[in-house]
Amino acid sequence: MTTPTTHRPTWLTATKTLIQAHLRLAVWFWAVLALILVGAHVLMSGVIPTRVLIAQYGTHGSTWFPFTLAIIFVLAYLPVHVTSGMTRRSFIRANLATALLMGPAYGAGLFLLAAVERTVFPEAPVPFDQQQVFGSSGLWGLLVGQALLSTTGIVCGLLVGIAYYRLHALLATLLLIPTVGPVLVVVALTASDAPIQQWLGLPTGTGWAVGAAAVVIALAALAFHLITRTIPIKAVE
Amino acid sequence: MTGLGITAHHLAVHFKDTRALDEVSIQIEPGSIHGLLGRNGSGKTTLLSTIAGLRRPTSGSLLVDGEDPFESERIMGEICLIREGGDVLTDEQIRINLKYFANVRRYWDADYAEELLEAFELSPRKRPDKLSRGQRSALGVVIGLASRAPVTFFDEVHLGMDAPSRYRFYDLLLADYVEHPRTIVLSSHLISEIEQLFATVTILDRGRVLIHDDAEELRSRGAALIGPASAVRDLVSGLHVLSTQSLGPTEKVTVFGGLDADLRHRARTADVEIGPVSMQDLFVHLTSGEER
Repeated sequence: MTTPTTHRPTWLTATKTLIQAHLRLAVWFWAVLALILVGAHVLMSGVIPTRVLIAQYGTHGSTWFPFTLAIIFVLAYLPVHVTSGMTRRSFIRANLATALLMGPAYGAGLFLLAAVERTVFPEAPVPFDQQQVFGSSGLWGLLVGQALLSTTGIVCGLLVGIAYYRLHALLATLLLIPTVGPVLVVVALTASDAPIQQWLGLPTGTGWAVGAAAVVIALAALAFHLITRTIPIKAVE
Repeated sequence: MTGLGITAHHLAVHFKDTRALDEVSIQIEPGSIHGLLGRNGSGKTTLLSTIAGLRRPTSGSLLVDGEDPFESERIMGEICLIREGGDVLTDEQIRINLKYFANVRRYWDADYAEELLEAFELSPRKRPDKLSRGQRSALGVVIGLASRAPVTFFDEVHLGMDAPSRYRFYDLLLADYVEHPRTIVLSSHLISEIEQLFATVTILDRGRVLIHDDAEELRSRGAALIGPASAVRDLVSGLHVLSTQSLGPTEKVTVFGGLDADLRHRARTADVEIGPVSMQDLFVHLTSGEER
């Protein structure tokens, strides 16, 4: 028998694989976002006689793009992971670690784009301030808010993917409300007008919203753990 | 280290109303090549998947090296299950896939993997989703052999390969097994090509164990009589005939059940040769509808 090679814990190996896959596509995402930003400002310099900051609209893409990737990766990678001799436990850990690393990475990416835009056009106003992620907290609010949104997006992508893997497609579709729901909750929690906090009569401070969003992410992560920990790996189609 | 032993005791796996495995009790010795035979839908894949920790049994006990494999970091890492169609990163080049397996497989032999790629004429720059069925099966074989896992399962992986590739696989498997003995299970319903490889055999039928025996013992459950047609027909009258082949004046008849000394003596005097029964014939007989 060949002598075994020393390996790091399997969840770390899996995390590295997932991060690499996420980053490779995230680079494309940020490149496209930057191109759109440049294109829009070129238009505003000539065709449209106005100048506003638009980078913050990247929040939608920065939330739903990694959400989609998480669905794809969980469906494609789960059977490979387990048949490669690794446990579901390490799969769960690797995916949640990836969410915790990639979420802030998307936040940082959007923060950088917005920072550059504001440096180039310091006089330009932010339109529709109410829709901005943590609008009242400025750029740092955008960084924290987007990190929370993207992290929730990835965890919810994992939930949606695993629901479609484990359950009948119809049932998984019906479950989209609870599986995607956490993203919508965090969108509301991080919105400038704090609708959930106002509705529930809770404090509207950023700290409260971050705490509440962290609880939502933890609950979604727990749901992912519970669904995945004993999941049977299907036969190859 | 020569592989790990596997023990299943009253193992059952049920899917809703289907009993995919029922009361399966087998023991696979460490370091042996074991044949897992059965018709389509007999439960071969379910059994291998359960041993590899891909699913939890409904009831019964399953131990690999004395430990339940389900979610066992140690045991799952020692088992390599290769399924037809493969569990690979389909949109990554083969070389990236091999790098991935080198990272996750404890006993991976990268040089051997390169050799195997050449032997099966697989380009490392190709993506698995661009490969033909046979090439994909060959990639599975490359991963299964180069993983050098103490317990390696090939689940009908060779069925998609053409004849030259299949024979290359058998040769490579045997050569590597001699050099690196380990527990290998080959599952198939095409037996004639691989029966010589097996030390022990399990035949599954409708989720139940029909036979779990030493390969030689199994072969001794029947015999093939070859000789002049009339003499052979005379000798086998009253016996349980499995198959008959006529080659002009010569006839080959395969029978089920042991031959007594008197019949052997009569065969010798009638110039009829007695040979071992083919596992394929026994398998067809044992799993055919009439036998059940």
